[in-house]
Amino acid sequence: VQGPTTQAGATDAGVIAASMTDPQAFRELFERHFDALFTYFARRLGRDAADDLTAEVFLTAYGRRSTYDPACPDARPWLYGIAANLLRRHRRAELRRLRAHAREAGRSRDDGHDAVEARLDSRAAGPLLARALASMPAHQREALLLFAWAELSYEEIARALDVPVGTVRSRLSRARDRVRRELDGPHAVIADEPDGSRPVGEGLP
Amino acid sequence: MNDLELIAAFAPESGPDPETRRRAWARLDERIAGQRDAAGPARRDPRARHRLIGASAAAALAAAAAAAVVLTVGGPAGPGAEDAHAAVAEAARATAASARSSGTAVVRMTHDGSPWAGSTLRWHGADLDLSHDHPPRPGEAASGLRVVGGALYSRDPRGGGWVEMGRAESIDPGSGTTPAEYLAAVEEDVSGATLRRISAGVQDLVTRPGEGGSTVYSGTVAAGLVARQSAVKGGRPIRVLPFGYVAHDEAADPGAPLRIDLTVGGNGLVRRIAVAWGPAGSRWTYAVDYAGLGASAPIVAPVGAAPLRR
Repeated sequence: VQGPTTQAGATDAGVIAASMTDPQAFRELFERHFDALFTYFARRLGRDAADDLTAEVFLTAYGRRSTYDPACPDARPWLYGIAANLLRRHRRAELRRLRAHAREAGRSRDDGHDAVEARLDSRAAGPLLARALASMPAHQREALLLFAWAELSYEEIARALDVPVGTVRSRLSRARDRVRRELDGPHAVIADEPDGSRPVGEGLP
Repeated sequence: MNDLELIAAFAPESGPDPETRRRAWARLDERIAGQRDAAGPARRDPRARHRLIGASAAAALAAAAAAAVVLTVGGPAGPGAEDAHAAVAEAARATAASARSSGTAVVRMTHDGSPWAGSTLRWHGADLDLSHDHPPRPGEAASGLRVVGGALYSRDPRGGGWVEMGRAESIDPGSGTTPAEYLAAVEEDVSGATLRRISAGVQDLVTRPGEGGSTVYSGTVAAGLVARQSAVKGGRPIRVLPFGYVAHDEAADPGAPLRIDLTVGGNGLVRRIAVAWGPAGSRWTYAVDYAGLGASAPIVAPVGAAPLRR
């Protein structure tokens, strides 16, 4: 696996190693991943929370950088693992946010909105997705959103959450079943990825 | 669209603005600088001098503000953190000493930007004046009470005039609404334990210059240090914020980290405590502004108060 590189060719692991002797080198890691982590937090908890939590991820990462496994060139699983730990403290807030969004589902239907059309439209399907996300166990939601929003592979999610890859497969499968049931449409029946990898240059499977 | 594509498109968010990124890097950069300080003076960052300026006591806070530096001191155990914690603790001590004789506290609570609750409390010795003045309800006068020289006065909810209720001792003891209990709350929340507890528990302190020569100390604090359990209702514990407001959502979860801003005036006294929690869409703010600590005018009996039995 090739990790992100700078023009000088350093992987994330190389940047972290360099920061052990030159702490300012850590800024490279910050610049590479801050925006993606902020966006991930913002989608889950809103921008106000994302502001603090993203900064906290990097403060934590900096403090723990001596424990980083240099065999992992890409630091994203490590950073998202820290993010997942921080998010545990905000589960109630996330559920409130999702449930508030989910309440819009009933309104759309009451308004006579065509349900099939709604499912085909990502914005209109939002309340249904929110309901599905709110109703699933936290560990399934975590795996699903790391896959769909953070764009980590199965193996990377396993590293982030410190669980076996098989556990990730199982959690994702159950999470997606729940989403499909909520959406309840023929378009939602799709094949699982054979190996959990994300083909380069393609969208989601 | 399949299920994963729908989820991927759900709740889209744009990335951070440059100011957000700059602030985050400033926090990290200060942590890095702090660790270099700990490694030895040879690599000391010039900003570390400002930490020392802000270290000692209330008088130094003004100097730190005038220096107009953005100062991050990292976690509670990080180098420099002790300085800022010492400064906050000193401000809390000075505030407590000044608040014993007199002062004013204005409490405001909002939910999603709208007024939720509020009150103004003035005290002077054993006299006090409390008005529940926020948010206004249509057709309803402000409610409140006043105690002067042991006599209790209350607002008439129908017309807003004052009614003389008799001696303050006649209020049911233990109800939480006797003048002595209000004064005890003042002692707890302004002059004593609450401020000490918050100042001791705040983490990840960042300071910045505030208005009028003040310094704002921002950080996080466990909700349990701000909202204390006071009662059990329906089998569930009720936690209340200073001055008796019921805590909601994260504020009711003792372990939840709340965002806190402590504003210390140029005189070294705490001017404002502001706490915020909850996501956008359910955002709570709770703020207490102090004024006139140790220098408030005496409280006088309301003119024209009607006897209770008229």
